[in-house]
Amino acid sequence: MPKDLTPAAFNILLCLASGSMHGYAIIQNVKNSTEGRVKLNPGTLYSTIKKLLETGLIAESEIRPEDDDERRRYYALTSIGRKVVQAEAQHLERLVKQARSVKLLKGTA
Amino acid sequence: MNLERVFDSILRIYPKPFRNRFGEELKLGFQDELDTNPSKLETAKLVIDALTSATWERLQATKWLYWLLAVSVSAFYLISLLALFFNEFIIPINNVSRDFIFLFIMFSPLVFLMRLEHVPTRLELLGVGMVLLSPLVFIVAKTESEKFIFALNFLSPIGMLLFAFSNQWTRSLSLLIRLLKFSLGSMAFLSIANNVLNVGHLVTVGEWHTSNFGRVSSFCAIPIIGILIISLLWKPRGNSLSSTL
Repeated sequence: MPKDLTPAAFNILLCLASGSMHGYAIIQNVKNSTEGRVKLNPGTLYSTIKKLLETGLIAESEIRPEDDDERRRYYALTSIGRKVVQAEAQHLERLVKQARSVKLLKGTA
Repeated sequence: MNLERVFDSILRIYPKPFRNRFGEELKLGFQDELDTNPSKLETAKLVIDALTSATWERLQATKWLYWLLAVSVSAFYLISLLALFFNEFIIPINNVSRDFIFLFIMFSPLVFLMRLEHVPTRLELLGVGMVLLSPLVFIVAKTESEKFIFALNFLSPIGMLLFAFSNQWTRSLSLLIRLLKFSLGSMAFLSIANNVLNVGHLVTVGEWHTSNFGRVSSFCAIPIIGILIISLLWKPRGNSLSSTL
């Protein structure tokens, strides 16, 4: 994980890997996918989104439902963002394998 | 004051470019959250999160604050270090040094917010808690030397905090900041050592309960223990597996 990729940023990137979303949908998605363990509040969310936009890991998306509130903006992963989140996921996978190999987790390494 | 007005006020803390870009979305976000009828605790968290995020953005927009803080920290700790080496009473306690102390009390919560990123560590929480107790020193301590000693006692955690905070500075800034980081850390530990020796001396000569020093320490002990317990119980939230590792 790049040093500046915070847990909130990783969760947002992971969430956007499934498609473009607006802010509140990201909050809900992260909450649901982590079974409530991670709760992003709007303040944290938009500060993180700002950083991700600046670093080019995400971009504003033109694709959006027609009947949605115009004030909502949609965000999507860029190709670099996808590579970063993929690299981080692979890194986590390796760590999980390592944890399994020393019997910290159940399953085969 | 209703919550919409609270959030409107918080929105004004954000720097203008941020507000222009994300203001409407933030309003919608707050509204969406409030529409789900959150509990009082959740609402409080929402407000605190918005406040910290707004302050963080505001502080990032004003980089000079970092520099002001860095310069005042080094000046204060330089005075402290000199005092430790040449006996604190040689350096006269005057309004200037007291102002330095108050400057720290004023700035430390801001530093906390700068580094906060919504996941405070135990060390940070402990440090900030102790720093916030600093005003007690001025209520209970009678003589100037007591105030000075206790100011060092309570302000030394700032050194530790900045030692931790400065990780983000060292990533992006120069050798000067690395040196500052090193000096802050060493001065903080010297300051702590000084206080441990002082307390040790008072206990040894049996003046713990009769001296003002002992009285002040006893007065401050209970909240410190409370903060220690809270800091140990504090669990950072929202960490991913890799950041936990």
